[in-house]
Amino acid sequence: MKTIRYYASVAAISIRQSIQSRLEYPFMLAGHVLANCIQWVVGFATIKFVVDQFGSIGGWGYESLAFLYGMSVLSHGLAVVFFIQTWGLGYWMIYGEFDRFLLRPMNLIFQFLFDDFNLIGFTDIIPGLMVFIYGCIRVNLTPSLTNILLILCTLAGGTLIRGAVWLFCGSMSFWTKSTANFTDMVGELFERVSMYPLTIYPKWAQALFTLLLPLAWITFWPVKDILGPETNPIPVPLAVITLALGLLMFAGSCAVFRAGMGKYESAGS
Amino acid sequence: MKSYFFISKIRIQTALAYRFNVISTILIQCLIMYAMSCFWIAAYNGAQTVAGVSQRDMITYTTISAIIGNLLTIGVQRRIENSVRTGSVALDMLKPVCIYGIYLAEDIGDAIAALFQKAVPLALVGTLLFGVPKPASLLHFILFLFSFAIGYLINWILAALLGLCAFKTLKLGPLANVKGFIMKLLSGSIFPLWFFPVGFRKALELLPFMYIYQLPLGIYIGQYTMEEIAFRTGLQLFWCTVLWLLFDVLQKKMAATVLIQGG
Repeated sequence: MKTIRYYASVAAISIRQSIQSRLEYPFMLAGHVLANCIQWVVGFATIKFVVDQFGSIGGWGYESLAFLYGMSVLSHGLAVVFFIQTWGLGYWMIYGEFDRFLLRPMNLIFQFLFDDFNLIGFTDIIPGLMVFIYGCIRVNLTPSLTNILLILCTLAGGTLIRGAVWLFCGSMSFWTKSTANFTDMVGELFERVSMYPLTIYPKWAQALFTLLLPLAWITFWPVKDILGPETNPIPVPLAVITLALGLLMFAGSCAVFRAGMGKYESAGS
Repeated sequence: MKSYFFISKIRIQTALAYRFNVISTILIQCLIMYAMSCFWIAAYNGAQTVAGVSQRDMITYTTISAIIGNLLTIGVQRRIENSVRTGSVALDMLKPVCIYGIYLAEDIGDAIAALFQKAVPLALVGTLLFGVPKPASLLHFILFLFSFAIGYLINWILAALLGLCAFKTLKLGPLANVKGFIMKLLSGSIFPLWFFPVGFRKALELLPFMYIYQLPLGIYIGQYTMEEIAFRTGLQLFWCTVLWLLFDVLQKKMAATVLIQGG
């Protein structure tokens, strides 16, 4: 109990410091709000215009697409808030940044994950919420307790799946000894699989993103289930599977990270 | 002129050194190209034409957009930002050549390297997946090349104008993102403007962004009549001239106020 309280207090201090350091540049923060609103709100608007011309995309009308898109931006924003440090893991490794963590009597993954709490990620959440609420209204989603729980499960699971993929890709640097950054490539993949319905892709790609590289679980499957639960062939809500997959994948990535730390040579000076 | 050619050559050689960067970029671009083509196939869902454009033309549009996207990747804004922040802009200004000429030569060098490293492989992958992305005719192809060249200059000047802000703000931060997102969404690089509502489209046609992607690509697939091509290319030249004049005035002003820091 004492240990948990100690860890919680360290996490709270670290989060507070991260927020303070980001608030030092208010114009920067305002700029990010503007940039992300353009990116996500205008981004969705352009999709809406195109869907208006065609009627639907892969069997999805723009109302359901707004809901899907909003959920995707929200889990993206949350992942950016909590896991942004994984983007530069290669640099941490090359410059010997883990030395200070290794000297402290605390869990390494905890230190790494709570080293940065990225307030700027919330600038993604603002436009995400706008599109999401718009989507909820357009699909006439009942604000029942079940739906709220399913949405929360999806967001938590989706955020963890994104974080797990980032942590896994970043951890590869321990073996490759390079700062090569997969963020762009992974970001594009996330965007294409979680913002558009999976049904636009051929069957082999649908199977790939459902079973082998389960990115379709970030939003597509749970959202499809929330919008039309009668089509779900299994008795468990798909949002629960998303959460379970998120936890499992994150635990897996943490194990890879730990194994990678075994290769850490403190190359910095 | 010889010195500018030399700078372009150095940039081509530098670009060739980063193999991982090239491979990962090609992979990303193939992914986007494939995903967008799937998007259009799903959207058309067997329909012959929508808004006067066929599915085949939209896939050609997507493929060529991905290809020219690589050539339109401009480094000048970051280059100016870094030079100002580190103070190396002072050394650049001491050189007996125009510094913006150097930056343009660097970007052209990068574009030439990207043509062989990224554009050609992408064209091959696009051809393998969806067939040859043929232009409407040889004349359309020649007009496309001309329009693309002017579009490149507009894109470069816009990036350089943004870079000039760094003389005042020292850091561009999210400003660069704003420009990137506007460019991505409103230039027709992903969704052509002819699918947008009339009012919104008319507003966008008043801005220079559509002349970077939409106009050359529209010419390539034969979406415009010859009269329209002549009129719109005229507008494109007008924008290029106006932006260049603006840039020329601003860069002289900024050079007078330059603050040399770093070192």
